Amino acid sequence: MRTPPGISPATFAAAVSQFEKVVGPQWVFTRDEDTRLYNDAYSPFLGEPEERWASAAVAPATVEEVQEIVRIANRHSVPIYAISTGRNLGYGGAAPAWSGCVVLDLKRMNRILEVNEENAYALVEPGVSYFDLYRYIQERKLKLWIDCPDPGWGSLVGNALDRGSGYTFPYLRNHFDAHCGMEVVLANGELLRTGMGALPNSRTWQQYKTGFGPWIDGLFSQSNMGVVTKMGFWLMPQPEAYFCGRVLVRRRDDLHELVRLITLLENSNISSGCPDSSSPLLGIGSIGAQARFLAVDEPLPADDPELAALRDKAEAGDPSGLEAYGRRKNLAYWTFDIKFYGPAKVVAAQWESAKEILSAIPEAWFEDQGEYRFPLTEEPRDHARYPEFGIPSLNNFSLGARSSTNPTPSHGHMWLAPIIPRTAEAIFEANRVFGEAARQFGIPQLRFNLPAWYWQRSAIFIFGFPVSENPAENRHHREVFFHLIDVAGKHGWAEYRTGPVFQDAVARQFSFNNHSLMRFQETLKDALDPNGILSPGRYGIWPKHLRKPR
Amino acid sequence: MHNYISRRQFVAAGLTVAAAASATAAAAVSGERPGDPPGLKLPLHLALFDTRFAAAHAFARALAVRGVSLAPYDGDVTPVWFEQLDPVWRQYPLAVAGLTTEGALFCLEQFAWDNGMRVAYRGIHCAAPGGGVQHLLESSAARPQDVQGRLAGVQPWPAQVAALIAGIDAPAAAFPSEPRSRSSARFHTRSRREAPAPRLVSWLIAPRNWRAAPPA
Repeated sequence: MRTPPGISPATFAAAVSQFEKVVGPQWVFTRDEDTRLYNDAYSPFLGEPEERWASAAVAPATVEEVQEIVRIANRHSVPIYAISTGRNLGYGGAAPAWSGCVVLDLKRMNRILEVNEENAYALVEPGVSYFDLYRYIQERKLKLWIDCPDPGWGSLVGNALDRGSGYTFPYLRNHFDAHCGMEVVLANGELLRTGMGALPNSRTWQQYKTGFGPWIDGLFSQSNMGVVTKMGFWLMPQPEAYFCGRVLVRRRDDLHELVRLITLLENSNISSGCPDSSSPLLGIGSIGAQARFLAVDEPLPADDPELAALRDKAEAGDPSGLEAYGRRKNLAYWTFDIKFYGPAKVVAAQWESAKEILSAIPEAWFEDQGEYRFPLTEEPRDHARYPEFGIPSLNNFSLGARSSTNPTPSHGHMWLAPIIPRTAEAIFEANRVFGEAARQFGIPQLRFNLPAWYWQRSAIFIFGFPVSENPAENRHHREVFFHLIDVAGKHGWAEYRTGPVFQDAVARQFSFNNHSLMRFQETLKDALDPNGILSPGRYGIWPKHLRKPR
Repeated sequence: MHNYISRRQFVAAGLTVAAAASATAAAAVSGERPGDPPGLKLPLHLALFDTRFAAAHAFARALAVRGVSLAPYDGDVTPVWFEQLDPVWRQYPLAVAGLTTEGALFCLEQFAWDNGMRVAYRGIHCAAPGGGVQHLLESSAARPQDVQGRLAGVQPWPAQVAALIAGIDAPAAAFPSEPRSRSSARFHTRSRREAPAPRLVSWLIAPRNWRAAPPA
């Protein structure tokens, strides 16, 4: 049994023994065989000394047990690291930000406490996965949809606290925005409820977010100020229909007007699903197309040598040849898939309206990508659409990773995911900046790329850096990753989320007024968690005794 | 997932194995075949196989004749997990075997951990440079010779791997999860069958203390 840094074996043994009294010895894990399961399957430090590790894990089943564990940890100054299900692969998994923490594994807290069909909300514990809630809704034939990420095996609470995203309405696919009310165990073991939940016998905890006075929910997201033990979520009434339409345009510079109009459609509530873009001429698939490729192992179409040369010219600033090639082959430079949910008549009218608005782009043309009615009566033609229908899936899960019996995987990945403005100018600039920076490091895969459109008023680039069994390769990718974080910061962009290895580096970018935001967070941390036992280092927030000079 | 998905897949894939399973119903009762090692066997709840691969069909047939229920799927393991594994694993940690892609096993292994189970055996099968199939099997120090002996038989390798899994009598001891207690062995078989592409993985997920588990 390894002990957390700075904690004597005797003290740690005493804490573990008391954990066992609270949850039962079968729910306290100290053997290497068990604690290794909490390693990050995609660790950027795979097999290196800096790889994050847990000294132990404890799995409570109730909020009272969480409170007692937190009190014990406080008494012994043993650091604990809370996870919901720990499935945020690519962003750190279940591994603690600070090696040696005891993982507070909340998977056993998996009760769905309420689902309200009339007002479309749910109250759940951290161990409830998207699959769990989906099953609950299906079994009861409720006319509700969940908004799930892909893969959908994670926790609603964990994904929302990590600020993950999904695919349906804008206010629902932003999973933190979709929450309404929390219950939190503070570092001293005290129980707190936010929003209307602070009202004894509240009848609107999941119906009105902000309660009265300061709205503090954000303090418990991407942070370590407390352990969230319940969370409310708004759900989506099952729509009558879904429709996906595609707009296609000819010229490189059409992207300016295209992004502007797509954003207008979304902000005007004309379109309602998550847009998806591609460039047939540049060979950039949409997110959906990439998911299809991953799922069915279809080979990508071979490139025409002429096309490859024209792409190089276009990237160098002259798209005329590529545009002419597109006209000849009837290939679009850019496409956007626009999604609509609602009554069939409304959806049809919205698509007609969208086409009218987008026709302002010269030569734009349109394709119907299909309509679905709900409940589904047959298997969707396109499995990649499952998350768009609120159906959790493992469909796109074809990336290899480390596991207990596969300690040297072929690859995992770490996501670099900077937020940029929702403009074509920003897309072109970010591509130029990231492309040049990556090429300096000999990373070829950062050629021109298109962002994802999960957030309603911004765009997000998502670059996957492979994790392999080769430490030198991983070291190189980490160096590039750190460099790109700095490069992004210098241009006013930053990651929306990242794994523990990179959290300090990203947090440092938010340095306005001599890091006043981080100093504020540290002030709160010191007040709420004076012994620094809760998830030290999570999202760059360190307790006083572990803080390094900036 | 929706019933219609698994039903369609099950009917399609079930046709492949039905004949073999019914012809050997007597053997299926005991779950043993001539030549299987003696001793108390780990009851297998299900055998998963990815219907896109011929080797997976052969693997499934070899387990079907031992009375193991089959769970075919077409690339996406979600329906099998959601409809057949998750409801059962919530109640009991029951052993499951498969011949799948590594991606599918990666997902299932994570779910297995949450239910008190581990991957007790794992074999990677990929095309060998000079033809045939290369196998990398993980086992304890005592097992590779047994495995080698089994894979040297005349049966196609998927059937031999199935026999190997069906013959495991104490996975926790035979295939300890502590890396220092494991060893791996490489083997090469000549096969008339086309080599797997992409590489496939045969596996056994078993309860950590399977003898204490309720009967399947």
